[in-house]
Amino acid sequence: MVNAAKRSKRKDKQHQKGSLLRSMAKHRNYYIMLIPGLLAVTIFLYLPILGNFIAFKDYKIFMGPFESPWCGFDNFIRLFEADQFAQIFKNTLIIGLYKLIFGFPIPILLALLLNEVQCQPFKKTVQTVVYLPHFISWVVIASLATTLLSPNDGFLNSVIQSLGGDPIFFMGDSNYFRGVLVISDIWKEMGWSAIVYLAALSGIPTDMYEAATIDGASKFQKLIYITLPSLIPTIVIMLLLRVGSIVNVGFEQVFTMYSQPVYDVADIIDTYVYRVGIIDVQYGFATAAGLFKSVIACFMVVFCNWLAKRAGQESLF
Amino acid sequence: MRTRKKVKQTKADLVFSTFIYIILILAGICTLFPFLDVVLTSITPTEEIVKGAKNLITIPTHPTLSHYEYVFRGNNAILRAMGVTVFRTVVGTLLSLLVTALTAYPLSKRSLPFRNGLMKYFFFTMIFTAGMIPTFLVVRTLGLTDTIWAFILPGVLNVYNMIIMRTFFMGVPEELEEAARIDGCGDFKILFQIVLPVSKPVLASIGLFYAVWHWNSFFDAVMYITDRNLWPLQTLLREILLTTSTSELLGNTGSLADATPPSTAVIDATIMISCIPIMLVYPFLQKHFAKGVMVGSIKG
Repeated sequence: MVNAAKRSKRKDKQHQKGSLLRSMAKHRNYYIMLIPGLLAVTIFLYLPILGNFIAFKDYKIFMGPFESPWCGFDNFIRLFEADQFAQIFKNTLIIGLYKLIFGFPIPILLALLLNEVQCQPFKKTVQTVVYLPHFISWVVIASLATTLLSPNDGFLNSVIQSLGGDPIFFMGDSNYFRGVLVISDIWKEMGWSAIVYLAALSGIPTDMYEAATIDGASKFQKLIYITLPSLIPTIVIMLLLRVGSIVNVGFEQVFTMYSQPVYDVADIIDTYVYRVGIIDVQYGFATAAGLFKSVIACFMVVFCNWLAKRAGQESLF
Repeated sequence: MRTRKKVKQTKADLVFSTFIYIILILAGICTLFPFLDVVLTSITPTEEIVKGAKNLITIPTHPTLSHYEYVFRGNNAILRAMGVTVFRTVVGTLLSLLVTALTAYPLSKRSLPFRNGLMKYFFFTMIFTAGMIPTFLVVRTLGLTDTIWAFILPGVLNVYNMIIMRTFFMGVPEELEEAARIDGCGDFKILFQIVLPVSKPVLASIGLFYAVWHWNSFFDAVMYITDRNLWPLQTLLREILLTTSTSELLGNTGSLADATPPSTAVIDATIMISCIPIMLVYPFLQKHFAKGVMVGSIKG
């Protein structure tokens, strides 16, 4: 067995133009290796994609997915006519947009600042600290936020009250809740998102800085005229990736942080799908809502890839 | 930057540097501050919590680990949930690493027939995601609901992680494998005895990603598990936190700390217990995952 494989590999070197079938036979072990991964993807990712057909069915629990009657686009029509859905779709886009506008530049700034630090132990320490929240679950972070922002004894409200203001129920007030979502998301991911930029920054050749130093450039000038322009390609790619996933607002975050009083500003497609589907057991209808989101997300990614190609950037895939 | 040599810092540069240090220190404080209250409360004796309920921040005069002891000592749900979490993290991470490596390795071979087609098959799942409900129905139809496998199998292969690992494998020198092949090693032996041992950095970072994902997951249990004995720690924690914050939501303006002083500290201790293992592990893997993410960001 081992010998045969060895011999076949040697042949592989000699006959580059061997028939496809022979080449496949030579690589049979590779195909065997692929089986578990292919199975996992097929069963848990492709089957559910195919399972989206129940979006076009009037799902009856006692009949199951196959026996239930087809109903065409009824679920989608019902979805678009439901008066919450316009609001939910709007919430998804607004929260996504806020996170993009406020959340995107901060990791870049952080990376630029860290890159200026010459004291390595300090840099390492700050990095370790700002990476930390990325590894903490949303359950815990939601609890931290609730504690910190509590109108009764939360730190922030204690400060507001000691300054003579009235306590604000940040987690339960529609005026503030989206802000809480955006800020806590930035807090959690700013360090982690900075890694990509730090990696790009470490690739900038040092001779440019040396030349600039000889020309008498200040640190700030070097930052503006050397570092930032070198970072532009990475920024463009990351921006397109972010825009492409704009409808993926962060289900776990909203799910752990929101509550009835803020549904009007915080309910997103994913949380809606969960409540209508899992809680109310309207499988067909909820699948329609989920499929609607998947199609938009897919379109956004493909569109951004096209944009990247047009902009002369390396395409994303 | 690094080539600072003997060029003297100008005044403007000094101001600029100071400014940067101050901002970064502030960023660090902002990151750690939310944890401060939890850490302090978790080590404050119950009597002190009751007395200092009105303080801005609880500062223990006699720090104690009794709340942690309480969590571990009691024959309670928290301990069982922790067992579930540890199990799914250990078994799930190992299984995921195995499947990911087995998938990534063949796909790193340029000579593999249909390689591009296979890559596209995997890649498509990143562009078009299956919805929550169909996934739920598939998992239920397979009879995985209310078993521990509902945590492990559906996410056993993360395509993004697989692509990162594949990119790493593509960088492993071909000569290494050729030498082993001449010595009579088969493909499996080469993967497990030659390629994986030199791929420790990527295994460490991907392993960390999987482990953190398992450790922090709560929603799969909400979806798939009705038997509370099978709940992982995060799901149980969420339930506990939900019950305590509900009273606040209902407009209970009375001090919460007065009503349930011991449980607040125990909850905070539980939160800390759920965070500490990760806090202890990730700094040591930091240099690896920084590279891992970097490799993944370069198109393979």
